[in-house]
Amino acid sequence: MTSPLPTQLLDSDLAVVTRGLTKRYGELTAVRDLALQVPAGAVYLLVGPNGAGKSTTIKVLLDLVRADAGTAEVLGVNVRDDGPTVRANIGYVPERTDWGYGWMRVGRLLEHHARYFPTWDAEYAGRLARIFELRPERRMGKLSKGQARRVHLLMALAHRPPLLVLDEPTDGLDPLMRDETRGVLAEHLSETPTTVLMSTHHVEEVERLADHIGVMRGGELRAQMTIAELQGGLRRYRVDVPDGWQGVPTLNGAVLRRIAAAREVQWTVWGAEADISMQFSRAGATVRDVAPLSLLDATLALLNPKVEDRA
Amino acid sequence: MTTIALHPAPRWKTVAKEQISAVGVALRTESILFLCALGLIAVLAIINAVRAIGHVHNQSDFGFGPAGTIPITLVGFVLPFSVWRSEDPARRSYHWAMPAARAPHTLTKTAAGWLWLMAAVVTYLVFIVVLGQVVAHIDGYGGPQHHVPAWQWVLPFTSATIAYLLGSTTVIASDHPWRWIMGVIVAYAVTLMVFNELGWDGATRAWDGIVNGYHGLRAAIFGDVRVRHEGASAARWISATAIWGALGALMLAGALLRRGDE
Amino acid sequence: MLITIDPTDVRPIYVQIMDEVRRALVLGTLAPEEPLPSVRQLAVELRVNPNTVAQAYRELEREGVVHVRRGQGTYATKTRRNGTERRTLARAVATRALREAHRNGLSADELIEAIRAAAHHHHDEVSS
Repeated sequence: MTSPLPTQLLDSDLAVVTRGLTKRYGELTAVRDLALQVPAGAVYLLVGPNGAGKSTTIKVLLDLVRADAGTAEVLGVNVRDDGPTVRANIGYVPERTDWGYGWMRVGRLLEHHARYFPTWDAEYAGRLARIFELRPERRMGKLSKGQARRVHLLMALAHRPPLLVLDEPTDGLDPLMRDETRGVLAEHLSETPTTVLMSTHHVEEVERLADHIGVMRGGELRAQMTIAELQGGLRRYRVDVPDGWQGVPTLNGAVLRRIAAAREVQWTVWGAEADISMQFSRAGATVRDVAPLSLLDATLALLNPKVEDRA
Repeated sequence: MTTIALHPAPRWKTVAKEQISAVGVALRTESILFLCALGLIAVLAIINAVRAIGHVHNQSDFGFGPAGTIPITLVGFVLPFSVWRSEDPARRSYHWAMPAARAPHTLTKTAAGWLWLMAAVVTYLVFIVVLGQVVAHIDGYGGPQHHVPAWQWVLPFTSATIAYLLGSTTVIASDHPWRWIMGVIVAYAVTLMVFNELGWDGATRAWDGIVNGYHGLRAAIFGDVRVRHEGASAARWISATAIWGALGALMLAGALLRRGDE
Repeated sequence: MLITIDPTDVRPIYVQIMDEVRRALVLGTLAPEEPLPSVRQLAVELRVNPNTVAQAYRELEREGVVHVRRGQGTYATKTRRNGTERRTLARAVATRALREAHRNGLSADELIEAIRAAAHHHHDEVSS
């Protein structure tokens, strides 16, 4: 019995939900019929290669870009109906690092930002500025990518929004600051009830903070589920097979990756372990080893299935 | 969906105050340059006046007239480039990501820049009047020769505003405002030349009228009409200002709507 | 008590945290009635989602390993089950070893025999 990859989250309480979301740029379809579902209180990782449509999706959620079809709802508000309220409730870190006024000094930009967010917590902002080692007298345009990213993170966190939307938040940060940032996020989540939607192509950098994952490629959502579900449902089987082995036809569709060498094969299969192992045995193979995958390997398998047999 | 207490968007009063303040910061360098230019003019005018002492035929005539609107109109036209500094449409995402409706928010920033422009006009007029008095005092000459009608004191405000509206429209609507400005000027000049060469008198006159006509741009800026060799007149200025002001406002509204909906 | 997690370990993080607490109890670095770090403290330290820490603590509480004192935090339970903890831990180690043996085509008997021999050798080394 094969199980298709889940793309529907069954929890009812969703902080972000899109239906049939489609965005085209001329010939290119950046996002196609997307049904994103981010449960309230989740830390949701949106994973995919560059150009998968992650940033476009995020911009639609802030009403910075308007979709050609479909709807997007954030905290129960349709983004097209009330963009200002939606943006007032999102802490946004954009992918670009030249965001904010290049000619402004860091301190003045933070004041500027604070006036737009009535819930700004000045004391918290000060604490974050110390952790991130920000220098208020520097001009935004003169900052390195990592410094600008830290300013943006502070701007997103300090008004303690119900939803954080972070587009590649650790991009450009040195390893030390990446670690600090993870600590800051862990602390923020302990103090403030927050839903997080985080896009990244560096899964391993933020996976410990996340509990949900969506895998995007070519503008489409390949799979969407809890990380526990993904790590529980996907296994790598190392199997000894007899000469002239015919494979396991019943597993077609559930096999994401196949590597074969002589009388040993390694398959990455989606489904219940006991059931899959039994099907291997029935097909005359001996399962040597069943191993769970790291989250990075699991996402790679989902993003880039390789099922052609090596002759 | 559980209802959670949503955070409110900021009040428009707060946004407006902050935009005035932030645009003020953006214009700091330009303000300093403006004041330096005024200072330079003052120094030159005073040197000139001192050298003119005792030379009756050389008396300086320093005062305000319609030609005095030219510099402030130019300032009005280029000011939007500073108001929207490092924020051409492709990079305006910070402004747009704020919790404020896009079109009114853009208008608020434009209005904030306009307030600073009006402050510059006031500074400019006060400067000219005071300098005129000082120069007159130095060379012992009895002040500006000609009488300036009251409406001409309003002229710099309206002409700078019209220039500001046209400049803002270009900056807000286009990724390449300078290309558009140069393009329009060149296209206008070439068309006028072609009409003239072909001997199409009607077309030439109509086309020329856009700038020099009774309701032309020139009339809005200077209050005078060159074609008829007429001097400045309040009536002409008012009608031309109404037309060009309305046109500028309409174009700005168009730009706001276009950029308010991507 | 020191709780560390291994990023290369494929066990879920909450399971790793639970195993670390059990290990501390068996080793005695966490004594009964001693407090565990707060959820927030441990989340920041390990850079993990606080929900993950809370889940680990919840599971441990369900198993009776720890208990929550309202408003004070989570404490190790005074237990007569130290023996049980030791057995649970030993079983987990044994299962991992068995899997590894099977992967390498070794039978359980071969493994047990090898463990005996290795333990003997290890004992000699330590006592010499």
